[in-house]
This record gives sequence, structure tokens and C-alpha cells, in this order.
Amino acid sequence: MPIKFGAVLCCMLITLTANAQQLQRALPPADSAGNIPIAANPLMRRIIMDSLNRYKDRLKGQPGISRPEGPAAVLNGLNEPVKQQFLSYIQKTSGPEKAKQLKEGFSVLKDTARMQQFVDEKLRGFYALFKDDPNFSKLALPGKIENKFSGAKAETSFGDTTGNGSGWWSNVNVQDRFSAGSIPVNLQYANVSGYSRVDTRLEDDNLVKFNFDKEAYLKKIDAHVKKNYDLKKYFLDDIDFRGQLQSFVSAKMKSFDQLGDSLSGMVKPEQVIYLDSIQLRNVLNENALKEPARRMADSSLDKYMGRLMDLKKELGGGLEIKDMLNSQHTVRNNLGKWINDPASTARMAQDLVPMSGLQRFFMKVKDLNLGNIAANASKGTVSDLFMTGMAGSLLSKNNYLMTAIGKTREIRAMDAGLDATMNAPAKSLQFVRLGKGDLGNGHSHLSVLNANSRNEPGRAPNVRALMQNTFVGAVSKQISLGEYGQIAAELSKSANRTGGAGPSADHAAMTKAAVANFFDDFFVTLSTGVSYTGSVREWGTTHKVYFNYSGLGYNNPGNPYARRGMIQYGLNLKRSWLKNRAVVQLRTDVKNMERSAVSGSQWKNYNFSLDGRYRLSRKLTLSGRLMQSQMNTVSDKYSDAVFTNRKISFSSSWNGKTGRLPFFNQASLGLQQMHYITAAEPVKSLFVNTQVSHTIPVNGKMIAATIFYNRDLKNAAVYSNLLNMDAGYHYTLLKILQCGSSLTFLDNKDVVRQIGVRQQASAQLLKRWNVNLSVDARKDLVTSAQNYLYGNFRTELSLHYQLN
Amino acid sequence: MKRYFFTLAVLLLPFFSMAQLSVTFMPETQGRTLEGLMMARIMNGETQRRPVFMVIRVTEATAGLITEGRTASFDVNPGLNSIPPSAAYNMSWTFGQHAAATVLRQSHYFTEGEYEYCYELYENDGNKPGALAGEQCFNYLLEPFSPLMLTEPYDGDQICEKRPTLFWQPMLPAIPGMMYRLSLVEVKPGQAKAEALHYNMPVIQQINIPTPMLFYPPLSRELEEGKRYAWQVLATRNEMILGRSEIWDFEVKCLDSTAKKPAESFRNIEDLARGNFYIAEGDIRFAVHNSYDKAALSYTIQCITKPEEKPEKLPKVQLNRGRNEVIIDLRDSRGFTDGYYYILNLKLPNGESRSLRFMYKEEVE
Repeated sequence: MPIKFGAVLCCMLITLTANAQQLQRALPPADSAGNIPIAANPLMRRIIMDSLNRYKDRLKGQPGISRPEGPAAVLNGLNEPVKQQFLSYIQKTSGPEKAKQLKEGFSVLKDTARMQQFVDEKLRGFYALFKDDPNFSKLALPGKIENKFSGAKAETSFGDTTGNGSGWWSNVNVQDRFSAGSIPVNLQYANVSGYSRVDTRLEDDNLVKFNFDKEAYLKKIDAHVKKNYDLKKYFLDDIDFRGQLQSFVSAKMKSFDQLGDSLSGMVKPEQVIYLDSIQLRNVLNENALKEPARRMADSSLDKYMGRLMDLKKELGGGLEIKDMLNSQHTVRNNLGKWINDPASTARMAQDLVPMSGLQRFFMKVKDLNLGNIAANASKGTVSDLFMTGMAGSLLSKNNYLMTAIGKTREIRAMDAGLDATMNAPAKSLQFVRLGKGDLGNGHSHLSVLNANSRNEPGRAPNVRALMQNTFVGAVSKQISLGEYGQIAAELSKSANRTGGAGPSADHAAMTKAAVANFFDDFFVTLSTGVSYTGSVREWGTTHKVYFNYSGLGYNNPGNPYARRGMIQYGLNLKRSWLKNRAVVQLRTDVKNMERSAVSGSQWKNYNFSLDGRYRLSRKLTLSGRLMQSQMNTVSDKYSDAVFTNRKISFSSSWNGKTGRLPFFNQASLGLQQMHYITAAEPVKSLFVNTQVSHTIPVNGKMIAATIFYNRDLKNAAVYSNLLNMDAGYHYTLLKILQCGSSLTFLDNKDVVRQIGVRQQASAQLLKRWNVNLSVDARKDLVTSAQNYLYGNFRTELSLHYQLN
Repeated sequence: MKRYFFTLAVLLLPFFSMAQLSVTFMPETQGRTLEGLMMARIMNGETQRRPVFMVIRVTEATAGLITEGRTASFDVNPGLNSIPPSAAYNMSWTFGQHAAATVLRQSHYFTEGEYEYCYELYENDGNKPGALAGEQCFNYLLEPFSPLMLTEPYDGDQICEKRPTLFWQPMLPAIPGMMYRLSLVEVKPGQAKAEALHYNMPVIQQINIPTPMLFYPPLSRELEEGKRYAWQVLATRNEMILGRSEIWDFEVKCLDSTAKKPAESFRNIEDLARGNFYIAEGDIRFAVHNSYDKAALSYTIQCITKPEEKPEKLPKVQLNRGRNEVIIDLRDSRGFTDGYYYILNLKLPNGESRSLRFMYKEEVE
């Protein structure tokens, strides 16, 4: 017991310590368009403006806005018509408010630096607009509603085995995509229905799912941005900054000559750009001395030097020039990555394309699902949960939010014949998870989940739900250790209240919310886990170690497979050598599950496996597996093995040639010991099993044969002596029909012996239609009353219409 | 004698009066959770409908009272009755102070113990519980089920078999009539495992499995290369789900059958020889024109980096008439070291010689 609590405390401390560390360390900036290091400075602005002024006629005929009323100093470098068009561009892409602020010459602005940055980005956007497509009204994302049918699939099957999807079953699946305001949503509808052989009632499930397609949204925006903008120009890739700078400085220096100075040629433009004031003065003096004919009075030199220094000031000083040239170098190195990644271009789109509030919101949404959906976050919150409702998450400026609301559901239409579960079959559930960082990366999240049982049995009419409220709170933490991997820790705690008004019908006596007693029974209702996953490239290893604890009273409706009363720990280690030619993997896992709240009574599980693979040559790979899985029942007085599964197996994959005919052969041979307890008696089996599949391609056709044989050397279990063989020929008919014809043979000693044929055919029709048909028919040579696994007939037909 | 008769009559009186209402309950499955207690059936042997209040009291041999639940009044019709859903849903519950009661209060699961489950039915006397109309108790030494856990194929594994045998750990203690159900479905790209189980047509949907393993059903179509599959096992007894395993998935991928390099162009040997540098990743590829009849290509390879290393077991290459796209596969030859330089000397059928310097690089999977 003290060990258990010590380990749990250790987990908690790791979680909390990690949390403290995270607070001190800011996350590194994302590689986003917002962080693209284009040094925005007056010099660069000047160069862009000069380029824009040269293109001033490009926007002829565009409606401008009225002349700026105030001195918008930051725009002074622009010619008047271009300036008007630029303001009009800002109005279109960022709204009239921003344009108005600019018009008013920043007089009402408090954060001038931010506004200048805004102008710089807008200038780059304006500069990157395609010349031949200056129609601002087309800049907005298309808002019209579009619908695109994606495809449909219908499958039906019939089988006569007792199980095995027996009876008639069909599945109709329709997929569609529609978008409104350029926000694409996928729609999936599935109908699963049929009759089983154990229950002749029609079982029917209608499932609908809407999901926001983030990938399609980003691609759509990416295409729209690239249609309207030349992104290379946005990153100023076409501007030769060095040359632009020189021509700008030369033009300025020429203007000095026009003012009456005759020092032309005494200083070169590059010297003005790169030299500091003292070096510049020295050069000027030296050159003036060299040419006595043009010797000037010191006052004139001073005056000229003053003008050069003003020019230098206008350039922003040597540091800014260096920044600008460096930033262009960085940009050029990363340009391809930024332009070709839809996620990156979509982020840029927020500055370049007018977007509605909803469109901006969906830029932050990671996923959004509605209908019959699964929700997944982590084991201590929601995991593998199937529900009817809504689940979605968003990430904005590294702030993460996930929410799920709905009703859980468990039993499927295919589970025909089952009508009861151990707990309430449906619960209404509300879940929120928020914090810093994204799921899967380094993060610190806090989650809360509230669930109420519902008094509606659904597919489990024999279950009587009890009024129940459950609350779960969780802290989740993941720390990235860079190349050394990551540590994930989670602490989840549940609280439960049960009961209604009872015989008094006094509703005041009804259950209060479970959250009111959240901290009661702390260790009994706690679940916590910590894991470390990483790799060492030099050693060719990947590894994972983990430890999980959950109390006997832990109750999380968000994770239907959460374990109770369990301590679990294990190691997974994989190492490869010789450039992955040899791989060894070790897995160990210990799961001890308490049965009693007071005694040491437990189910103790131990799993161990060692896998090895060696690629002897390109043609031959050998592998082996050593595995043991064992469960013991343990009490204060005894410890007995109740289940043992030991196995050693070897397998090979062989790409070889027989004469001129190539073949692929896959074979395995294993020895397996399997002991377990049944209600009738203990079963002790010792299996020898082998499986061989051999495939020979012959001129586009294929001959394939498979043999599976399992022999129970102790004849302990009914279904253990099995021989299953098939041999077939795969061929093409009429150019479009892919066929496979096989002969089958099955012998399960003392149970059944069958011989049969299997025919498969599939065809691709009219490019979009795909039809598959398979029939497996078998004749019993020997049968027995014990045969309820092997039927005589099964057919499947599927029809698939795919647009993409 | 009269005294004995009287005593017997007094003893049997409650039995006769209560015999009209009896309770059916199977503690080995229904006595494991709080909801399970509600699956008890009430038999009304009379021909009249009887309004009753019900009290369920569960005690454990050492822990004492574990829980007590009380319903509002509900009608018991003649014959066999289930407890009405609304009566069960609105029951009030009190729990004992023992650790076992705490676990039950929090999780609705009974822990290990020697339990007595008592069902008491009281007459409705002016909308209040009146006289005891029936009482029945059941005893059971309860051992909670072990978790139902899958073992092979491992979660997230890659396997080569198209018809794999599936293994899991049995759910114990074994109770008579317990069977397993296994579902295996394809998981479409981007689809969650839980969704795949509900939306997709199963490849295997096998019921009545008596053992903790299933040989791949011969009638089911085989699994397909490159696809991902999810599977889950349920433990059932008659119509009741006793336990569920987690949902695991695996991918069918035969590494060696799919290790195909993307098609590479064959550059003319004349160009290659002029360029005098080539990287051979496992093989050397070039195109050569042969105006003569079929003949074996005559070639040698020497190591430049370490001349003492002699490449051996070089493959034989046959030249046909016309253009030949030649692949000299060096993967199974000996004497080639990653990163070393070699020279290939070719003697073409027309008597001309070509040489190509190349660096050997091992393929990485």
C-alpha cells in the first residue's frame, strides 16, 4: 500500500513540477507567417514605395478614396494616386476603420509602432497583388454555397454461420461536401441494417456525421491567396535590395549636385551605404585633397557631409541596412516552405484577404464534428468515446480549447441479441479542456467533465439506469524534451453521486451535484499516469516507459475503457542495427488489478514479448517472436496461475525466383502453450501451428495458395485441430473484370470437414464505379452438433461510387 | 401435538403470505453492479395488480451494510415483472461507511466479498410503506471479473498475415455460459477507431466464441495489404454484456513485398561515363544499345577506396538486341561498403569499353 501511494504521489509531483517549469519557459515562436523575419524599417518601406510608384498606372480606374486629410507621414513616399489606391486596398482587406485611422494621420493612434508594422505588411500585400487582377471586390473568399457529392458505397452480405455477421446485413454509406462562405463541411451518412440469425427483428442504425474539413479549408484559402497574390513578391523576393539601395542613394546624391554642390563623384553610393560617419568624413577629405582643382572650403565640405549624413539617417543607419539584407537572405532560404505549406499561406491570408468573423474563427478551429461521432483527447479525459452530439477543438495563439457535448452510446445494430450492460447504457455528457499548447505537442491542460445517466435504455432495454451524476477533473501535461523525446503526465479524479427522491418523492432529498464533494475519497477515485517516450538516434533505439494507477472507485464516463483498481507499468524498447536491417523489440507490461477494497486480493497480469527481424538479403527476411502472457489470481493466502499463453514462432518472407518465375512466400511456424480456466474445467493446450502463403505472378495473372494448420498436441480444446487450405487463380476478364477463383478445404477434427469454392470478381466501371462480388460456398463432408463457427455459405456485394 | 401444530402454523404464516410475491435474481452476473441489482424480476402469483414499495439491502459478511435502496410505489402485475425504469431511476440510495461501500458509491461496482442481497417488498398503505408483502435474500461469494484484455496482434502493430489468429486474455472467474464476441472492421484513413466500429461493415463479426482466441474465420474475406483494422472483444452471457476490451488496431503491411523503389530513369551509359560520378543505391541502372546478338554483359567492379576489397558474387546480366535497360543489382553481392567508391568497367559487345565511377550507398528501409 505505501508503495502504491508513493508511486501515485510521485506521478502527481511530476505533473505539478512539470507545470511549474512550463510556466517559466515560454514556448518558442511558431514558424508562422506572423514570425517571418522581414525587417520592417523605413528603408525597406521606402524601397517598396519606390517600386509601387513606378507601377502607379497599374490601378487605373479603381475607385479611390478621398485625399487623406491629415499628414499620414508613413505614406509620404507614395505618389498621390498610388496612396489613394493603397488606402482603398486597406479599406477592402482590413475594414474602413483601419483606413480611417490612416487617413487621420495616426493622430488617434496610441501604438504607432504597431501601426507602422501594419502598414509595412499591407504595403507588401499591396505590392504583391497581381497586376492584371486588381479588382478588390474579388479579393474576398467566395461566399456562395457549394455542394459536391463525394461518393457513395452500398454493401450487402449474407452468411449462414451462427456468428460471423450472420444473416442479411447491409451498409449504405453516402459522403458529401458542402461549403458556405468557403467553409467546407463533410457530411457522412451511414445506414447499418439487417437481420441476424439469432434475432429475426430488423436491426437498424442511422448514423450521421458532419465534420469541418480543416485541410480542405486551408487548401481553399491557399488557392485563393495564390490566385490573387504573387507570394514571391509578398516576400519581396523580386526586389534586389542592394541594387535598389544603390540606385536610391545615387539619385539622391545627384540631386545634391543639382542644388549647386560640385562634389559629385567624391563619394560613391556604396560608401554612403556601408561606411560610418567617421569613415565617410575621411574618404571625403582624402578625395578632396587628391583633386585640388575641386578643392572646396571646409564649410562646403561640412555642408556636403551634413547632407550625406541626412541621407544616411534617411536610410536608417548601417544596422538597419544589415538587418534588411540579412532578412532577405533568411526569407529566400525559407520561401519555398512558407509558400508551399497551405497552413502557412492560410495564416498570411488573414492579412491579405478580407475575411468575415466566422471565416477567421474557423482558421483557429482544429476540428469540429457533429452527429454520431468519436471524441478523443487523453485516457484521463475522453478516449475512444462514441457519442451523439458535438465535439470540437480550437487553437488560438497557443491557447487550446476542446469541448464535447452529447449522449454516449455503446451497443451497435450489429450487436444483435444483446440487450443489457453492466452500467447505464447512455449518459449525457459535457466536457471542456483548456490550457496552453496543442494536444500532441508540449501542453498544460485542465479538463472538467460532467455526466448524468439517462433514463432511456436505447438498445439495452433490460438495463435499469439509476439517477447518477459524475464529475471528472483532470490536469494533463506534456513536456517536449526536444530530440530526447517527451514526458506526458496526467492526473484525473472522479466523483460520483447516485440516487433520486426514493419513496418520499421528496425532490429536495435528491442527489446533489457530484462536484460538491469532488475531493472526497481521494485515492480511491484517482487515476494518474506518467510516461516517457523517446529515441536515441546514435543507438538506433526508441523507447517508452510508463506507469499508471487508478483507484477502485475511479469512474470516468468519458473513457469507456478506463481501468479501475489497476497499477500498470511497462517498458517498450526497440532497437535497429545495420540501417534497419536488424530490428529487435522488447515489450513488457504488468497490470495488477485489485479485487478488494481491504485485502490484497488481485488479478495479476504479466505480458512479455521479444520480437526480432533480420533482413538477410533483399529477398529474404527472417523474424521470430517469443511471447508470454500470464494471469494469476492472488489473495492473502494463495497465488494461482489461471491463464498462461506462451508462444515461440518463426516466420519468413521470401521474394524469390523459380526458374524465371518470381514468387512471394510468407511462412510461419510456432509452438504455443495455452492454459486457461473455463466454467467446466481447466483447458491445457499445446499448439503447433504453421501458415504458408505462396504467390506466383505470371504475366499479369497470379496463382496463390494458403495453408493454415493448427494441431493441439493435447487435444484439449474443441476448435484447436484445424486445417484450412485454399488455392486459387487471379486473372482478368474482358480487360475490366478482376477475378479470383479458389478451391477451399477445411478440416476441424471431430467438428466439421468442408470442401468448397470461392469466387471473387471486381470491376472498375465508367471510371467512377467499382463493383465487388464474392461468393464462398462449402459442402459439409463431415459435420457435428458442435459446429457453430463454420458456415456453408457467405456472399458479399459492394457497389462503390467515388467522385475523387 | 397441538403446540407443535401451532408453532408450525406461526412459522409458515409469513411464508404463505409472502409466497405471492417472489424475486428472481442471478447474483453471478447481476450482483456485480448497482444497475445489475435492478435486473431482478418480481413474480406476482396472484391475479390482482399490487402496488408495492421495494427496498434492496446489500450486506457483506465482514463489512456490514454496503448499500440500501428504496423505491417509490410501483405496481406489480400478475406474472413476471421487471422493475419499472422510472422506479429504478428515482430510487434513493444510502451507502455504508466501509471502504467496499465507498467503492460502490463511487463506481457502482461491488468489490470482492461474501454478499447477501435482500429484496423486500412492502404493501402500499396510503402511499406509505405498509406490511411486508415479500422478502427474498440471495447469497453470493463475489469475485470481480478480471479485465478483458487483448493480447495479439498488438495495438498499433504491423503484421504480414492476411488471416491472423486473434488472441485475448479470458475474463475470469469463468462463469457458466460466458462467451466472447469479436468484431473486426476496417478503419478508413482519418477515421477514429470508435467510429469505424459503428459505421463500417465488419470483416469479422463472430459470436459464441468459447475460447480466448479466434482462428481467422475461413468464410471471411482476407485482410488487405496497406489497410488498417480495428478490433474489439466483448464478454457476454446470454443477452448481457459482461465486459468490453479496449479497441485495438493494426495495419497489414508486408515490408518485403512492398519495398519497391520508385521508378528510376535509365540514363545512357555514354552520358554516365562522361559524367564520371554516380550514386548506386543498391543497384546501378543504365541504358545501353546492343547492335549485335544476345550476349552476356562483360563487366568488372573494383573498389577504389580500398583496392584490397574485392567485390564478389556479381549478378549475371544478359544483353538483348537493341536498347537494353540494365540493372546490376548489388544488394546480394559481397564486398560493397556504404560510402566507398568503386569503378565499373564494361566491355560492350561491339568491343568498346566504358568505365563508370560510382559511390555505393546501402538502401535504408
